[in-house]
Amino acid sequence: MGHADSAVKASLPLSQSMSFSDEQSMLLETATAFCRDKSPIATVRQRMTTDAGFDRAVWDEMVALGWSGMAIPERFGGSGLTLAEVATVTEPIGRHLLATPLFSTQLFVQAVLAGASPTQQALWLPKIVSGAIGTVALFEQDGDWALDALAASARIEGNAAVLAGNKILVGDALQADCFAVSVMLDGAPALAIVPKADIGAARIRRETIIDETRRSASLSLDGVRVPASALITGEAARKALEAVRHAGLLLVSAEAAGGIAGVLGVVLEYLNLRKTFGRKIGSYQSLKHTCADILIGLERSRSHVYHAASLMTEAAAGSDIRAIDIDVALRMAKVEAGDSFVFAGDRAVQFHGGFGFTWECDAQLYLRRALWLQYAFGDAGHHRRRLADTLLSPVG
Amino acid sequence: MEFGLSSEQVLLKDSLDAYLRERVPLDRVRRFANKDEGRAAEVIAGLNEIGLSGLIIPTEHGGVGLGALDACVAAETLGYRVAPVPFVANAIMVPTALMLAGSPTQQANWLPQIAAGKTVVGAALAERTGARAVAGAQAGVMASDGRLSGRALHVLDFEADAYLVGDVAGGLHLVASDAAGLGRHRLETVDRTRPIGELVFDRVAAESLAGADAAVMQRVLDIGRTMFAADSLGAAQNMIDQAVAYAGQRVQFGRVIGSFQAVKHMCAQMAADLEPTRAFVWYAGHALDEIPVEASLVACQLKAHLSEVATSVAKTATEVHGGMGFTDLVGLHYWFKRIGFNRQMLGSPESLRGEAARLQGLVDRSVA
Amino acid sequence: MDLSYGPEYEVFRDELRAFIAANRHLAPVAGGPRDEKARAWQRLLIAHGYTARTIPSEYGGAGYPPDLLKSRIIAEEFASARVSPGLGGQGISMLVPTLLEMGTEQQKRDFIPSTLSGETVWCQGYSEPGAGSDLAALRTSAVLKGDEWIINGQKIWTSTAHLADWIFCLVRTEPDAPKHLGISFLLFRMDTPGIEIRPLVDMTMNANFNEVFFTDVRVPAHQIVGRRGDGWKVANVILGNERDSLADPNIAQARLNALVELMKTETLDGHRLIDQPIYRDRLMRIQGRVMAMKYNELRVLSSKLNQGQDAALARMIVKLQGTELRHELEGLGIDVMGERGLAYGANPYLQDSGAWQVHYMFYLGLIIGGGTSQIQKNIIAERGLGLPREPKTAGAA
Repeated sequence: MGHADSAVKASLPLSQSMSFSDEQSMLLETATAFCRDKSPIATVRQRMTTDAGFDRAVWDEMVALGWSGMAIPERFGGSGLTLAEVATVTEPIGRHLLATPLFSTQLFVQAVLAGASPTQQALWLPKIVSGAIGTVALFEQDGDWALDALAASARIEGNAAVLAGNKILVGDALQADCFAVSVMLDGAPALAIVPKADIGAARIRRETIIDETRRSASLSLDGVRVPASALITGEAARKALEAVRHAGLLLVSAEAAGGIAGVLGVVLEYLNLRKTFGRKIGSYQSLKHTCADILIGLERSRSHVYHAASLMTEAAAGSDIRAIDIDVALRMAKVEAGDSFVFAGDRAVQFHGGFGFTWECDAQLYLRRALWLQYAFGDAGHHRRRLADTLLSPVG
Repeated sequence: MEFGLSSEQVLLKDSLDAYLRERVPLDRVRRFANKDEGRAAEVIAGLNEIGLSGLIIPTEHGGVGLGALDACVAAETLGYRVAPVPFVANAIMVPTALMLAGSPTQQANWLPQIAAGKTVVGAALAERTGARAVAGAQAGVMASDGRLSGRALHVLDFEADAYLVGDVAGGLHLVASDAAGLGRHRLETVDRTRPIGELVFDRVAAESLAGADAAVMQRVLDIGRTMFAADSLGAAQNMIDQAVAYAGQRVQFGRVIGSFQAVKHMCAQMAADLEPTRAFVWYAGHALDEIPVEASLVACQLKAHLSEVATSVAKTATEVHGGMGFTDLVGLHYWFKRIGFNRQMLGSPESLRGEAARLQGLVDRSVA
Repeated sequence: MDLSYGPEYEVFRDELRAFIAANRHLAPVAGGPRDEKARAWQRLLIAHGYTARTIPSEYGGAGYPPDLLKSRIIAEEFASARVSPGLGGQGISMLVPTLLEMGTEQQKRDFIPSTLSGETVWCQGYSEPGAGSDLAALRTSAVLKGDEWIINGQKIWTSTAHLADWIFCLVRTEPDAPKHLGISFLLFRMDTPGIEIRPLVDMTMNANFNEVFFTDVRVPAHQIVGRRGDGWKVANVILGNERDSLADPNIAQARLNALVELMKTETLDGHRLIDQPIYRDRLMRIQGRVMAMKYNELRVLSSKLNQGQDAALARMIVKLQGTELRHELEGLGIDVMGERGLAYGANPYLQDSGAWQVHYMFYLGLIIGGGTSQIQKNIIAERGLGLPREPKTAGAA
């Protein structure tokens, strides 16, 4: 396939594969059953009250299933699959609001895969396969979604680098075993791949965030010493950051798409149950039609996510896929999934009437997640601006 | 404290509406639209007896001497009935320019003629709100030694005896339709109730308004924009009224379609969206009369917002009518197209919001 | 399972491209089925299997087995070459598939070949003034007298009535039966005495549709598809096909490309519209939705190719989303042009022959036609999501 739409600056090839591979089909089935089993809503609520936020036993099972090492090459003990497969399990995770450090870990993995030296990779990737939890520390108070406006810095002193500055929104930081921290070094972005011990629990402070199923923390880097060998610099650092940005966009979009399905399920259940004026409220057109609207947003999101994942898979397999097309597909997916999930969550609260506004109603759990995901790795307006710059002539 | 129309304003609205309902039913509008009449002479004459063309012209010049809020009421009513008569330029923008920038002699020469309906004056000011390009060149009129050259597009109340013309430097001039060197070409649009056209100037002799300056131009645009917004309010209200009436009598699936929640909510949403704009229009009229420092910002935001709401009402009201809403027979499209026309004239929603931001100093010129 | 086109398909595509290159001068540029050039082109395409591909050859088709990928390649290549893909119209797109599924052998032989060749042009008699969304409430009646049906009533929204030779028409033949069970599907000639056609001008100010009046129209009794009272079933086969065709994502892409070009050429005070952030944002929103529609089409296609892959919901949203999207896209084109976007009729500054305004209005008609957006949402909600059906009210059939 391939239409030459030459009027649009970036020609957008339709991916060869829009449907799932057999591998993905099986994964989806397994993951759906797993998440349904491990994450009933009562368990979600219970986990929200714990420090870690997730169940260590469930994480161990995921590790045993090979999920954390899914996208890690076989030579490091992983399954040698791609982010498309990670996205496949992410959808049901999103659907069932399953709290897990899987997302943070996958971002760490992508940074290491894209930019680390063979030595660094050999050091860290097998640990991940065995169950170590990784995360990335990329965001800053005055930073931006391009991830390269960094105030945090590193200074070389002999064989070590001394870090300075602060990071925010570090996922699962208190439970993480290893970090990929972005800093400015000699005027360019660099990454420090470091174990928890080099940072220390005292420098990590939990943040209060709107999605209480997640854990996020700020990091104080002043005086942190890391070996110089822990650094990724130059072009490798640029690649690593881009890989993390791509993975972030894909997995956030997949999680959001799953979330739409999850909250729609909550709504449909309620609409088929609750009666008012002598009939089920789902028989009222205004509610019916809004459910159709939610469904349309869900299908649009899925279409974009599967398309982006397909492009990334083909690129990884060596097909001639342009980086610009992957960038566009990921941004489109984020725009759609981010906005559609917020719409669905908002409507879900509304449709539960007064009850929808209470803690006891499950709809708000989804809405909070939607609000969080809406801004993760850039909101819709940001991405549409970047898309316009990419797809249209530059301004001027 | 009272925020509402006075009894005189209600009376104006009612008498104008009664005349239009009686003498300008849809069939009359249809005839005007389909037959290329140019001017619906008897309608204009009838409305002049109510004083429409002299609505804001001072009584000493034969007008009714009313204000901007009264003009809003009239504009809304004309929009409600999609009246095929010159108004925004002839009765409002041009007299405003004359009263603010014309000499006493010019006022005495022109205003009574307009008020009596003896002269219709159009307005060539589209380039002041943004010049479009045609034939590879940007439209615009240059003034030199009392003569005008260039091109003006989208001239309002085009079927006129004279025109108020804005030049690229902000000057204002009056030209007769039959002036030597003036080319006039009608431009057909979707809205066939209000002719517009193009003027091509080849050193045309013109009468300048000596008092023309940026403030006058702003005032003329403010009041013109407010009129278009009020027109859309009226047109949208009629579309809602027709949709509600239709929904109340059309039967499908064994029941009146207005009993389906989807239809109910479509009507409710339209009404909920449009109703607040009524107060917005009143405030804009009032600001033009009494709070000049706010008038420009309110006019920009009013027209931007009302354009969006009216466009949405136009679509939804058509949908409520089902297939019949799509037909020429029912004629709903006259209101649909009137709203579409108002949306684009004197500034689109986007450009008006941009202007609103600039008026408030919210735009950092260094990054503009 | 993936949709990669294997080598066999690439050979097929290459052959098709060669055919188009060698023969495109024979293709009609305009002109309907009466045009001899169009008919000759249709014959040539059928002979090569590029149209009427899977229709059995005994009925005038090319007689190939179904192959969705080849059908897709054919559609892609003709569209990208901007060459006529053969004759269209309701007879070919709707009636022929219906006859293949539900017609008698005699009906297939009588009607399919001449329809495919363009000799017989059809129109569709479905909607009535009192039967729009509630099509099953139709009242045009057919009474059997001897060996003829006597038809009385009225149809509306019949688009090609003034051009058609024959009509496929829903009529009520069992007045005492429940609403949906009393309808029959008849075929008859448009030159039968008693038929009056009146053009129906719509908001585009063109007569794209007609009203058709029947007064004691006599139709041979055997010209019925399916049994008496089965007409609703027959009709629903077609309605599914109609919905799919109302929102082609490839055409949406072509319009999007035209919109981008428009934004590059239109200026306001000398500045291009494509450089304005607000318009760029609006364009990106629309592009996202066009892309989603294209991927959605692939999922629908994939579900047809692959067992066990459910795209029922994806299919339901096509008409709803596609028509709303086109209306919005064309509206952005008008906004980009501003006052110039209002041009219509004999206006020297008309852009693209007024296509933007025409489509903006016509697609509002399509949002309504073929099942309004509100009806679509009901279907999606009830059949797709399992929400309760509309409650019956007293007196509702």
